[in-house]
Amino acid sequence: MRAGEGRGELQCLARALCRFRWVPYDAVPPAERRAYVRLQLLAWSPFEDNGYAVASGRDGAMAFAWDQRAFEQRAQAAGLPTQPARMLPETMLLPAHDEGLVLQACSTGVEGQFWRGRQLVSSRWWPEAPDGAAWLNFQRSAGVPAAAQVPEPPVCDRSKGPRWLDEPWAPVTSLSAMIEHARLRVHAIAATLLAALLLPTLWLLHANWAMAQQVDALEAEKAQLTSQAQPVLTARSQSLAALASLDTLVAAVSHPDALTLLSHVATLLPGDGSRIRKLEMDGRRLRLVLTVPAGRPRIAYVRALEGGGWLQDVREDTQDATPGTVALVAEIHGNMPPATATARAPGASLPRTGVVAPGAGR
Amino acid sequence: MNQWLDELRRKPRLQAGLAVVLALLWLLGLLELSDALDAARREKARLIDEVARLRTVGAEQHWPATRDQTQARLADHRALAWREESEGRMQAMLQDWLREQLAAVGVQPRELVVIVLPARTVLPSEQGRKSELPADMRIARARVSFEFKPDALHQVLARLPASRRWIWVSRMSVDNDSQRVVELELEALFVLGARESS
Repeated sequence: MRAGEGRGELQCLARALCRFRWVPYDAVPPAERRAYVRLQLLAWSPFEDNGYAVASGRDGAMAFAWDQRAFEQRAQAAGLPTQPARMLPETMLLPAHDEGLVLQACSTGVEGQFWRGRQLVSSRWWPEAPDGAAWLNFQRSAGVPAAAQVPEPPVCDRSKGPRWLDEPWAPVTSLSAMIEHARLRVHAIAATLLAALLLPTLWLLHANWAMAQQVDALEAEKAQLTSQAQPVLTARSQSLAALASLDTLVAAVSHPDALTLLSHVATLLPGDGSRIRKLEMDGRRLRLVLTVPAGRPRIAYVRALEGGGWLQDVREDTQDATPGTVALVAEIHGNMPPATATARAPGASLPRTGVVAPGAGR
Repeated sequence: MNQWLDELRRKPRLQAGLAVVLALLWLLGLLELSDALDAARREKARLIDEVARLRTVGAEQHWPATRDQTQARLADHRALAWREESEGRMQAMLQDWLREQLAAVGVQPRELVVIVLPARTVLPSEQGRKSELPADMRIARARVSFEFKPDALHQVLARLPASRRWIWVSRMSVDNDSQRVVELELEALFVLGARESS
């Protein structure tokens, strides 16, 4: 373990303390690869409390795991930060290779590596350079084709010491960052949904509150106006009630005056010897049967009866027609002839003089 | 409770389901709020109209005078109605009065029948509206027939206003031919109540 550039931001973890796993994901859809790797690493979990460094390649992820608790104890013992900003296995800071088998000297021990397409697909650490059998075992477990296998490990010059890179040869992320990323996404979705619900809720609450204030103000104004206008309102409702009752009474007692009607009809009939044979008044409908001189045109009687303006819609009733008679029906408009129509009370309505009785035309 | 919470933490589907249920409940709450806002808007519009009406009515200072005039006219009209304490008395009173009037002009009635129309009688007015009499008012209807003599009919009709009460001819049939008969249907407006002491 070494401190990165003396600032405590980066701590490089010895390969001896790490375990490596190649997680192939070439058969997994790109959108699901992060979740797939996350699940694979959580299932792997070689220590009770794991730290991870993951580098994504073209065909799979290169994952290093270490005992986080043991690391923190060692860092504490060495006086280094137990939660550095960045932790990298030293393999990531040693030179990368394109293809083939490599025996890499580490800060402690050596690391056997198998590279394919600039991806580290297999790695194993030994405290000393492995013998031929161990090397063959490593090649077999790494899936090196038999034709490409070599019986002896390459020569590793440990006298020069490791050649450190300033930056790792591939972007490295931690499992916690991956989990955090997924969690952040969930949180972002949740926050969006929450905002989508919260914003209209707040707007509606505010609008309701504002509306309630306005309604309260109007209620108060209405109460004030009602108390001010109460005498007028009372008088108005009493007036309207009295007016309705008055209308009803007026409607009940509003009828054509029979005596005036008889006089009116007698006055209107021409003095040609005609006389009233029958007279029927039913409400506002009047029916007359007149005995008329022979050859006298009927229109003379219709015109005469319409002349006063009180009788309207005068027409002949042909149902009861007999020779020498004219039957006429008419509508009585109003209670009195237009010339004398005024608001009347009983006892003040009848003409006192000049009344012509029915049959005056005889 | 803790066990349930642990289970909730372990099961993302349960969390998602719970979130969906909560979101639906929240949406329902939003709809309720929206409905409440609409109702408040309607209430506000109603109150604005009401306040405007009150302002207008409050400025109409003529209503007390109008009420006094209308009530006076109503009282005058009611004072002209006949007054009896029961429908039976109405019937008898009108019949007596009519017999008296007919006798005074020397007319012998062939028929004289009086009935009292039921309470709340609906009467069509000239304008076509239908109005209902107040509960304490009745209309008594009399059917009278007698021999037609022009002077007698004139005198009978002329005596009606002499009562200085509401009485009118609702139907009249004069046969001046072979039968020489007059049929009158008279209606009188009554108030159900104690007679005023004269």
